[in-house]
Amino acid sequence: MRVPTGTRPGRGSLRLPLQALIALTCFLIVAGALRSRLPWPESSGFRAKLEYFVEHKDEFDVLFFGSSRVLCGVAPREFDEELAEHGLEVRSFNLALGGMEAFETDYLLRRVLDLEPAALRWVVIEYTSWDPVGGWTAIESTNLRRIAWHTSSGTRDAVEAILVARVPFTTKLTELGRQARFLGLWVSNVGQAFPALDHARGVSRLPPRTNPLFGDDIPGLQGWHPMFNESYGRRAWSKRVKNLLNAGVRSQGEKVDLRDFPTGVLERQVERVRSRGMGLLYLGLSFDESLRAQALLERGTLPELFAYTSPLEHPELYRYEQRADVNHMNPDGARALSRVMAKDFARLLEEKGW
Amino acid sequence: MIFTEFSFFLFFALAFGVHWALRGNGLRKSWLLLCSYVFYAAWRWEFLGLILLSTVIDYTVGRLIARERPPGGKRVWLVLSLVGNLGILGLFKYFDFFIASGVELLAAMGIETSADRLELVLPVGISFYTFQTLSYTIDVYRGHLKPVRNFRDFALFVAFFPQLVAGPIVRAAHFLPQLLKTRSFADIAFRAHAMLFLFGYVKKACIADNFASIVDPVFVDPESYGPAGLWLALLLYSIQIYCDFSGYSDMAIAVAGTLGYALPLNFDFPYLATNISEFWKRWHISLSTWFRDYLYIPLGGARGGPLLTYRNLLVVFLLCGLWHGASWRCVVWGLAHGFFLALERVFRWEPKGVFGLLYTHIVVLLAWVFFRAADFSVAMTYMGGLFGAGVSGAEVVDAVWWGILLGFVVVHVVMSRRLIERGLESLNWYTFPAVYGAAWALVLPWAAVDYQPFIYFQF
Repeated sequence: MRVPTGTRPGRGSLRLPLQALIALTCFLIVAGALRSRLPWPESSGFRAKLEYFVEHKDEFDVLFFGSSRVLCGVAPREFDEELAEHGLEVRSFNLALGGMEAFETDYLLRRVLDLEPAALRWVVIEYTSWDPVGGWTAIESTNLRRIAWHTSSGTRDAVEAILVARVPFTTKLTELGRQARFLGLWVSNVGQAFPALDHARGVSRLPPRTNPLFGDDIPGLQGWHPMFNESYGRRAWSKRVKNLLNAGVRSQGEKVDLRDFPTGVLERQVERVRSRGMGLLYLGLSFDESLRAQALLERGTLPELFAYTSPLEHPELYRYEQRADVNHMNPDGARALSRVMAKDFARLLEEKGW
Repeated sequence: MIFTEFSFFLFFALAFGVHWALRGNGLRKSWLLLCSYVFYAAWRWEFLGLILLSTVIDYTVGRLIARERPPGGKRVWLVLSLVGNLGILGLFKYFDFFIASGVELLAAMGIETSADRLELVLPVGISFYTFQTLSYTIDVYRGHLKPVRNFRDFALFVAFFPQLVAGPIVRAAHFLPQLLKTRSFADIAFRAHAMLFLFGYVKKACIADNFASIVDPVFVDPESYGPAGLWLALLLYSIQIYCDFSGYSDMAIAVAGTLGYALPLNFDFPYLATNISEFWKRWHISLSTWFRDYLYIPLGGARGGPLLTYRNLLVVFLLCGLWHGASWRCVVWGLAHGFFLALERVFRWEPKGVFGLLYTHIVVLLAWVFFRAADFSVAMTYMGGLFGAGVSGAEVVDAVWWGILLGFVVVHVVMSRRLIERGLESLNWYTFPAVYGAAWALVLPWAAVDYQPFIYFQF
């Protein structure tokens, strides 16, 4: 390329803005067309699972969304069998993924609802943090999963959450800048070509996993997240349960301030599901979020909440033998949790109707 | 902040918009100076002091040299500038290298000693702006240039953000006169610069960064690859470094151009050179001409007979190697180029055609091994491996990269004939932005999500 010299075509005060507008429009059209062809970002085998769901989308009545707590804690077959014992023919599917917090879950929910699954009647979402400043969503690394949920609506939700968050002004500015960057990456499809090409070629650059993050919902793909932590002993677990009990007692009657919570974002999610005539249920699986979830339920923002965060109320879910680690169930625990949940769900259906 | 980063696009949109919205050359220059300091401070604000120090030294020295009548006095000020600038460069870039080399040399002579290293962070772009300011002082000393009266103008010459961190190395005589002229936006070859920026972006973000993911593992563990894999990785590296650096230069020229400033050409399709002499007329032109004008010619150039010419060439390329990195690997890389350049002179040899291309590529490629390898031992393993010695071939590089390599060669030849540029230039005022916008949409997905720093930043 030679160093440009000479003058340019197109003077006039309006021509440059007009050209910029044409360039931007064409950019957005082509980028949008490309984006519509992009596969779901690969993460621990989730893409295959999602593709399975897309192929069989009209077969499921209940869908579970959430993080690894749901992924490892909900065994759809167990859930369905328990409901069958209550005379309810249900087929559920676990669409949870490790590290999936509220914003990403919301994005996945939108995509799934856009598919218009014919049989879907209940959506079950783990209540996780809507905090774009802390938690998984704040991890510095840029990855395609994180970019994927930064759609215009996803970014708007995150911005709303940042604006109400109780953090210093400079943190807000930094976070807003990051959201803008992610939105830019989403709009421009940066980094998507090679993964899409690999997907088309049927190859994966990620190291193969012998035990991918699948529940038992896809025949032949059973397996559990290998999180067993042998160093985490029985005594440590007992202590943890005791702490949870004490914390539960301490927090009784505690007022939760919801002024720093992006209520509007959650309300839109609820409305999105309800407007399609589906039932919506939230799951409380994390003690850290349980108080806020309860407050939102009492306020009427959450339509339904099944909370399993108290060893006092659900001692059967807090046995050492059922845990993969502090936060996750092992297959025995998942069976137990799924059965408990299914019983509660059956009761709910009795009240609300199927 | 680097040119391929999202934040740079925002930064530049603001810099560009305000620059052209301001009335008056003085205000625009002040704005650009502020932008340049912000651009540099975005990396590490602490090192702004070094740029300011270098600026103050050379601005003051330039004024003092012009005031001195007897040549002796001028020389004192010139030496002061050289000591100041090269002292800063030496301290940050070469101190640890020479200390470590000294300790190793003494150890080889049986004298055990130790010395503490400073382990200073190398300020980004220090080699570039140091050479830039030196060119000013030397030109003033030689009487080729009048000293700048306006400190802001001189500060902008040193810190102008498009070329601040990785060149091209701009001569004062080329840049300072541009600061005196008030520009109108209508004088700007905006379309050509917009294209140049896009081409530069493609080179850096889509080619160099992606090639790095293939090249890096091979250079980490060359023993695991067979000769074919090693040759392929080496060829890919030669493209990577070219695209990395020339891509940056293209973007720098384009960014400066849209602000109304012309920067010199830095790369002219070096891989089409048919001999090493021609290679250096096409590769990092602003550096090779700097060395020619401020080192080779003062050393005597080709005026003192063949032996002195060869010596001068070797000295220049030894220092050229050191400029690229404080390591003996870089010295070997520089000397290899100097050696073949001298050889071409000795035999008055000027290879042409396909043979010339092959010869040049082999020399350049083998020299790149020393440039890229982490240390001498890796370089020697790699060199041996290229010819089948001491490698296992357990790992392979995907053969699809041979095809990509071939594609690059074709594109390189097409670009050298300016076919794409001409095609884009011929579009009318509304088709061009449409094609340009669509081109960006097609290009960006090939860029890596995580930005790789420019290779030449470390120099």
